[in-house]
Amino acid sequence: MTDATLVKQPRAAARPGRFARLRRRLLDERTRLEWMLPAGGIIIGLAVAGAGLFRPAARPTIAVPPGYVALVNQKGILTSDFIAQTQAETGVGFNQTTQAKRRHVLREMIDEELLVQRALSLDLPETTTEVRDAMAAAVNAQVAAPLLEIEPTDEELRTFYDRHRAKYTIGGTMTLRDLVMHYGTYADADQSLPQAESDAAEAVYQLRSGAAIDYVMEHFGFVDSGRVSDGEELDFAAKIHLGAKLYPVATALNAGQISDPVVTADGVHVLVMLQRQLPRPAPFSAVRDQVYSDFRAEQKQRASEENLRILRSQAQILLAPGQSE
Amino acid sequence: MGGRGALALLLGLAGWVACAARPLSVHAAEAGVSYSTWIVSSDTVMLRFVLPAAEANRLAGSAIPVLTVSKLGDYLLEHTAVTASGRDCPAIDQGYDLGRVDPVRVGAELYGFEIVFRCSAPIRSLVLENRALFDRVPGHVDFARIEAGRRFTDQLFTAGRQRVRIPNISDAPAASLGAYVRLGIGHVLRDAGRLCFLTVALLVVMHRPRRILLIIAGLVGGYAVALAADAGGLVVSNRALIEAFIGCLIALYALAAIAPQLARPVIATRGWPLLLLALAIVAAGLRAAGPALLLAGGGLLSAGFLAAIRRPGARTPGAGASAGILLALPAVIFGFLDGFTLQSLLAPLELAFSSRVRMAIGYDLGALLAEAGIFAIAAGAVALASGFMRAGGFGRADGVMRSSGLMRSSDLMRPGDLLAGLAVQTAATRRTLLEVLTAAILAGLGTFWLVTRLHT
Repeated sequence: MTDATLVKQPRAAARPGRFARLRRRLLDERTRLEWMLPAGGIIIGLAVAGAGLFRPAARPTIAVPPGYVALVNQKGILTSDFIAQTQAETGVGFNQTTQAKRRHVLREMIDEELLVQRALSLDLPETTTEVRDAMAAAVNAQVAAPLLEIEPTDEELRTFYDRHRAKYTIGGTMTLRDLVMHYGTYADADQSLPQAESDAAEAVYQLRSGAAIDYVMEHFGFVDSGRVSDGEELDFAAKIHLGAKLYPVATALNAGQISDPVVTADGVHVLVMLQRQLPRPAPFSAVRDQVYSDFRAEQKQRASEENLRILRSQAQILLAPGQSE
Repeated sequence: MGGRGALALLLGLAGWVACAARPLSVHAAEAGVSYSTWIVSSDTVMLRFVLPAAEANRLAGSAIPVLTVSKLGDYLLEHTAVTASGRDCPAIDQGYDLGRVDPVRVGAELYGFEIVFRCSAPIRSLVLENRALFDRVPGHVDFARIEAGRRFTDQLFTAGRQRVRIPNISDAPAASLGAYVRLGIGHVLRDAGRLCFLTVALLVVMHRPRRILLIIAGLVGGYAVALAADAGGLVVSNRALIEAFIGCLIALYALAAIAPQLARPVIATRGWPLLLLALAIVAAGLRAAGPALLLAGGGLLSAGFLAAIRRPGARTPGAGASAGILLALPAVIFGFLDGFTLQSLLAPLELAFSSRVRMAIGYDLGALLAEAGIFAIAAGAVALASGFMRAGGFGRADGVMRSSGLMRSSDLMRPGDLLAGLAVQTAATRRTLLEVLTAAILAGLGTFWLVTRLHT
């Protein structure tokens, strides 16, 4: 190593770094920055605060947008609805309708929209039973619509039929007499219920012992109730005629059997089964339409129940003390 | 005590009175408004009465809608009436199980009712009576609209005007511009927030009373811009956030007044914007976009404003005018925001352009008159206090309690008059203390309003 190399060479004057240059520049610009920075803060601050304080005003629609035939208080009437309504009212294709008819239909639709808006303003869904019923039915129909769009296969219908086989029967008939002993009415004021029941029990005993119906009727004061016809009746007709209390008693009887006394509001009844043909299971092919209808009804019911289950899970329902559902 | 010190105390007391006195509402929304539409046709008058939910709940004493509707319906029936040609028009049963008052749906956060009055003969002259709510809230205002055929006019029902006489139904008179001016005056005088803002504005310009004119000019400018924006129908304001931002402006002005008096003004000039920005971050975290933007904007505005009035150049003699203009900036913003008050009050009515502008002009003019009046009274008080002190104050003829600001200190600081000099310093210290105290109270109050109104 030579001396020359040991001697520290004087360094060239150091060039200011990038940050130093920036610092110096900022210092040079200080006076201007003293204005600009606060002004910038104020302007940006006002703009940002303004974005929070204000929002653009909704501009009312002054032209009918495409796809609509009219605007009523900013609510649109769809062109497709207008065409469908015109076709429904005239019974011909839209192109075949006259201008006068179209104007008439449009006027009707605008009137209807005004009335619907007024109904909403009057809060009819909350206050009017008919509107509430219609709305509830519409919601049920809407939730069932996706299910009803898919036609059930015969296999599905047959499975449904098998599950509810007891419901699909044919041929059940009965011929019976419905004897009634009235009590407590103006004509039977001296006849009490216990007395009537006692007499009816005695009459049943005699009938079962082989006494003639006419004799028993005359002896104990029974009359025909008039609920059933003299001849043969299909089971469903007998069910309607006899009512919920007597029909099950009748279906339990075979030909020649006499029921126990049955007390109803109009007196004490005794049923005498003259002839009975028990219902037989109907083949699927014979009741397919009914199965289809029941299948659809069950689908609707299921969709409605599922919808209500969801609605209830999301609702807050408070019951008054002492109330239950 | 110096004249300006006395004024500071006066302003502080006024601020406290503004906030504590019961008839004053904490902010404009609590004064209470309702809307009524009177539709006249043949022999019937249908009244549609609309009440904001908050007002309705307060009146009914229940937040349960079913109870509120029931109570309000009965109350309205008792407090409204129609007389035609000197004969009462009774409210008729509207069928079904509605009775005489039909609750109608008129929009979110609003309760609506319809009452039909049937008169015995075709209507020619009418007297409409609306006494609802004035017994509960004296400052309540009902914005009414009278419709007869295709004609409609706007009217006002107030505590002092609960009956409107219409001599000829085909030419129903509209409320005069003066009615809206009075409404604007009442809006400022009854609202604690507005009064506090004016108080703190006075505090800022107390040492240079001529700058009051700049503040007033700023208010005029703000109201004018708001009127133009309202007339153009360009923007819709968020009333709750506007009330919150007025709290921010009160605090900002108070800090502008306080900062020069503090040993470490940086605490105020940097601390306040940082606090707002921190709150903005919290609001953003809570996904409250509006409040977050307002707080962030308020923080940036405060930082810029406080830095601008403190920058060295602002204190040079040539910069006096620009500094004065800068001081008027919060007044411009206040005027602009306050100019949207009537717009937000009238929103449910969906008024026509001409009606809206006419009402807004009257209302804003009234607000400006009230604000200018308050400034004039304050200026008068300063003049009186100054004159009083010049005349010897409370009997202390030696002048030890003379206002230092209204008298050159060199007059008192003659060599040898040490006692008088000390007295001047004491008075100045007291005055400063009072100013700082008053400004601090108003800053705290503004911050409180900002936070609580954003929270609600």
